[in-house]
Amino acid sequence: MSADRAGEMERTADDTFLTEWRRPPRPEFAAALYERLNRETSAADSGPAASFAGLIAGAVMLLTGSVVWPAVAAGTGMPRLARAPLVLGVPSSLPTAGTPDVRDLTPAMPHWQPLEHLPTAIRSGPPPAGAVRADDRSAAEVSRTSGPTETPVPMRAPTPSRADPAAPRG
Amino acid sequence: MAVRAGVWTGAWPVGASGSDRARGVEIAEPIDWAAAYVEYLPRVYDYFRLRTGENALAEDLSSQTFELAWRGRAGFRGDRGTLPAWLFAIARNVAASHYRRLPASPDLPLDRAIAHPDPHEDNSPEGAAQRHTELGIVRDLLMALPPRERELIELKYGGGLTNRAIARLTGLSESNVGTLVHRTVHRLRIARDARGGEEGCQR
Repeated sequence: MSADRAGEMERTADDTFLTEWRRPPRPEFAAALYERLNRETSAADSGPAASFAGLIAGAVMLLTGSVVWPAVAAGTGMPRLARAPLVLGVPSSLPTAGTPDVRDLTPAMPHWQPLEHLPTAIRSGPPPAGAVRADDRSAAEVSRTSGPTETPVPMRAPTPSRADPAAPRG
Repeated sequence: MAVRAGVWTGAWPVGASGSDRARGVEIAEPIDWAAAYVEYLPRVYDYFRLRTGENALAEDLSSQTFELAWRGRAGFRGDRGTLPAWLFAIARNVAASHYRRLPASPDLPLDRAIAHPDPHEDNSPEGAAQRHTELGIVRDLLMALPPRERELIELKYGGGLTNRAIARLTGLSESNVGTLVHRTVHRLRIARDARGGEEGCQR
């Protein structure tokens, strides 16, 4: 016996006046509500999936840009600043039009590279031509503002000092 | 026994045939929510009509109820209750939330408050005409009831719920629900007859 049938049998006798007022909902209301329910449900179901797919796509694009872009830029002779990885070198994403060519002034390795990681021969020997210490801001600024045709400021001798946090201690 | 994906659902799937239910066949089909909509929208709508007395408001509250149900239908646990009990639990919450949002009614003189116990009753000419319809007459009778008995009648005759489903919703025992409904209907019938007699005398 279905629940409906049981419910009907449970009804007290002579209670028809409590059911005569019942009316079905308007068909247009019922149809519009059902359509809205299904539309919202399908949108809600696809919502998390779409967000996750967007997240994955964004991560793939970021990784692709950081890995492929420096390699492509190196092959096309683009400025070294633009060749830096997008993830690590934020300035590479800045517009470079109108700025001096700094391909020979930028350090050969990221400026956050500790100096003690360099080979001893390079640290003790004369600096290579055109090399500028990354932490020497004044030299870099002078070189950048003076333009590429001027003689680059030579790198100072890598003597350890208190102001140089990257210098080996002791 | 209704089983879905190895889990007792507790409720017969709406799409199950009566013969399957009678034979106790295990049915693996999921709940047919489209069929549930067709079956329960009229009940929820009438429940709100009886509770509010307004068709437009009943449509609005029914929409809210089904929107909440549709959003949460993935979390419906048949082992914790039947589908109509779950649906009408949402409907009760929607109604309670609606009445909480309404502004507090101004204080009425005692005689008027007794004559119109519903503080949100529509006293306009349209409201007066509405009260002379079948729905209006029943609502007038219900207004004289205590809140608990009134809600039992709304769930029973508005929502068409069984005594068991009402017992689950209200926390009363099933036999208590049956007794209360029986007595309340008797009282309503007497009040209705008395009202008919008064109206006959006025004519």
